[in-house]
Amino acid sequence: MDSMARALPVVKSAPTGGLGSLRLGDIPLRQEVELVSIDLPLELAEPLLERGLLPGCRICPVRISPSGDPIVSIDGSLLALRRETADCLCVRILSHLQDAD
Amino acid sequence: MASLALDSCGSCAQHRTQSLVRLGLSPDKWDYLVALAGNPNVGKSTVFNELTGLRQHTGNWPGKTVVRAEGAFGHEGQRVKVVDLPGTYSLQAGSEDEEVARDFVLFGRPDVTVVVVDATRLERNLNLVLQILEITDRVVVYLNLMDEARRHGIAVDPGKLEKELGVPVVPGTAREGIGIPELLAAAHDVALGKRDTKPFRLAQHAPDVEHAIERLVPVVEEVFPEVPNSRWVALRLLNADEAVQEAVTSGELGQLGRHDSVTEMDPPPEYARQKVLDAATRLRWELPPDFHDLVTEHVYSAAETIANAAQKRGLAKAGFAFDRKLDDLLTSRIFGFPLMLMILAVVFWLTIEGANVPSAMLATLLIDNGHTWLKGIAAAMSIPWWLDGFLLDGVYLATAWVISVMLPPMAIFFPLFTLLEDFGYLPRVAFNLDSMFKKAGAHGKQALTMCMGFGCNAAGVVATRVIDSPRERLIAIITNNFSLCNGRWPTQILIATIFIGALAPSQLGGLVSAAAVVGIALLGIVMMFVSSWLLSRTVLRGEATSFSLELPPYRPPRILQTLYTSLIDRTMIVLWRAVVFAIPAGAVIWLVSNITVGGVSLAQHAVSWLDPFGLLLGMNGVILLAYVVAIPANEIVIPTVLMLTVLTSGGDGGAGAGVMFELDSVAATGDLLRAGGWTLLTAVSLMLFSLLHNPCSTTIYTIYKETRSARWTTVATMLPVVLGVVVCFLVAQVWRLLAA
Ligand SMILES: Nc1nc2c(ncn2[C@@H]2O[C@H](COP(=O)(O)OP(=O)(O)O)[C@@H](O)[C@H]2O)c(=O)[nH]1
Ligand SMILES: [Mg+2]
Repeated sequence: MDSMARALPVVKSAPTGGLGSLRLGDIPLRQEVELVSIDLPLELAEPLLERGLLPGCRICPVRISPSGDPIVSIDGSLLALRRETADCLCVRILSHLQDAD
Repeated sequence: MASLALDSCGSCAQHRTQSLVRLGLSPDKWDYLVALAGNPNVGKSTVFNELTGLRQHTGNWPGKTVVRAEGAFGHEGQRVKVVDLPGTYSLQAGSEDEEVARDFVLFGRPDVTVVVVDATRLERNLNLVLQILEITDRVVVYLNLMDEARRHGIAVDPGKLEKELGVPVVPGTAREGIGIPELLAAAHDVALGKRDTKPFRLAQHAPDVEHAIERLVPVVEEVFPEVPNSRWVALRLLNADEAVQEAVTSGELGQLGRHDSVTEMDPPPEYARQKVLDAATRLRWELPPDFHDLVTEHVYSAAETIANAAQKRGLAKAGFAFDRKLDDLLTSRIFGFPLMLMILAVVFWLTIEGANVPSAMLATLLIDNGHTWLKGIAAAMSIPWWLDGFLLDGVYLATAWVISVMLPPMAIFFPLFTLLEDFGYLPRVAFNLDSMFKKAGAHGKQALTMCMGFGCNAAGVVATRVIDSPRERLIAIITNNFSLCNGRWPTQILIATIFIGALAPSQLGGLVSAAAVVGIALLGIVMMFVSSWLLSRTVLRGEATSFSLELPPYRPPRILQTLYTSLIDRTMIVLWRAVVFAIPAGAVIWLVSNITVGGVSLAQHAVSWLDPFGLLLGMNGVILLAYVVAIPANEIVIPTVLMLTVLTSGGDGGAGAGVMFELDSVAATGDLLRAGGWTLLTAVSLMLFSLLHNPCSTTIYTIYKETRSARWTTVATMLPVVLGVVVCFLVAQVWRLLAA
């Protein structure tokens, strides 16, 4: 079994500075990104992991609520997040623009 | 049957179907016990209903089932007990409903655990499957929602999955009963040990972790020789899992995985149990600090590997186009709110317009004809006046009134609501409202419990179990009463029709009344936000916790099934409750109107005493007394009000002291009330007070059961009354100032 597929840390406690600090909250609609890490203590990260927000997975913001909370599409399902949560998800841009599936 | 859904048992499907005998409620004795586990909203309750013939509520949103339901069926001459569990994403329970599920899987000693899996979200669902496989090898996986998977271009290979997992995998579509016979056959064989399973177990962990596990396992096995997977227990103990530690302390762990539920074993001695905990604590010190992450990651990556092996995606680009279009509207910045209001208004309007005719027919049948007829019989049998009055004018009329007023609107409202729920609209409402709940310091899922409260506040209070933070759950419990429940909106509708709808031209009357009722319902929502905000700034201080909510795909509701279920279950249960409360209330009303002290009835004494308070609040003594009488059930406020009005104003529309009656028409009811001194202010105040007063007795009891705290029950009871008094007082003063 390939346990190295997700060698990146699931949870990072210290926020990273500079280039690595792109957050899901900053991503425009329909830009697909890859989740790098979750910058939250484990108790708070666990429910997200359980709902499929795993480092390495592809996320695509598909909608923003009137108050700026995003709905993201992951693995074909829709997940409504709060803005603060989205700001704790460190992501990496995948090259091409995609329309929401 | 779909091509993908064929497996080894397919050939004998016919035979199996015939051998299923639905037994309904839970038996006292059973041959084996089946637990239904799985992620939320994957169809567990649907499978349960298919098996037992019961009608456990299903709904297209995560968190529909919060308590465990039990049922039974017969299969091949065996009695089988089935337990439907709340959904859970993992065995590390967060909220109370997840704890119910976790505890049953761990300690309920099922003979076989059927894990229902969503075929369209295989990877995420497999996390739970793998965790359950760690603790028991008696597992069958039911790969549900194969129809949706096909529609969305996802192909899953059940055979491959079965090979990877090492336990039977049965594909199917629970809603259409596809795969259920095969599931039964597999569960039967596994439960009775006729089919061996070789469950997938996680391979080696990191060396440090492995080392610690290896040293803890012998200690666990020495003290609890019966435990089926000591490696898992060791790992959980190293993780400081509270439930497992608790099970060690109590000795309950010895029962884990034992399948003969008849013989209880003595737990190991206390010092031995303590030894296990001490060993775990010692070893935990030697582990790396990120140990927990490593273990979690291990499970997730295994789930990913297996999912990738068993599924092919993107045969057709996943077809959620319709869902997305609809979401563009229903959760849109611009249209989301107006559409929500419009849907609410249409539901109320259909209820008001649709209920008119059947309500009048029932009233004619039960009251005009039925009551007269019964009176005739009583007279013919020369029953004493007081017995006849007590039974027929008190008890019978109260019951008849409740039935004719409650049944038609409920029979329309509940199915409409259930259709929306089944379609998947509720989580969208939660999403639309979440930002407001966040500002109020409350949990986004409170929107879901609020919606349940529109049906019944007691149900709404139980539904708060989906909220994992105790602080936010308490806020949701305390404020649930601001959802206008079905016991109250017949009052709203009647008063709105008489006093507000009548202000508009008659073609628009229904719409204007519906708008007034929606206005009151909205005010309730505003009150819910305001009081949540106040609570979270004062006694229940704290930050809103993060929240994530799955928005399930829209699913076409099954119309006939929904009609049937909501009519039989919800409507009849609520109606029955109303009748049960109306009977004693009718009796009490008759008694207080007929027992006199100093030549004046008890009721009249009370009314004149309460009148000054009532006037201050824009109402009158009659209404206040009716609210006291109606504490057990809100449904009987209006009949009581009418009866007392006749009594005190000496109007001629009624039928004598203590007789509840239905006036022939809404207009006549209006005339009577106006003769009793009612104005538009009285009507508005009554509508406000009906929204803002104490919960009914059932809800109060439920709050106590859920919070286990007399203090919070008192807060939840008094807060709305205090608000109601304040609001009505202010409205009355301002109104009178403006009118003067
Ligand atoms: N299309 C489809 N929908 C299903 C199937 N099984 C269940 N559902 C729907 O999925 C939703 C959730 O079902 P429910 O039994 O309440 O799930 P639970 O939360 O796991 O108990 C309901 O709206 C069901 O009607 C199925 O096989 N196919
Ligand atoms: Mg359920």
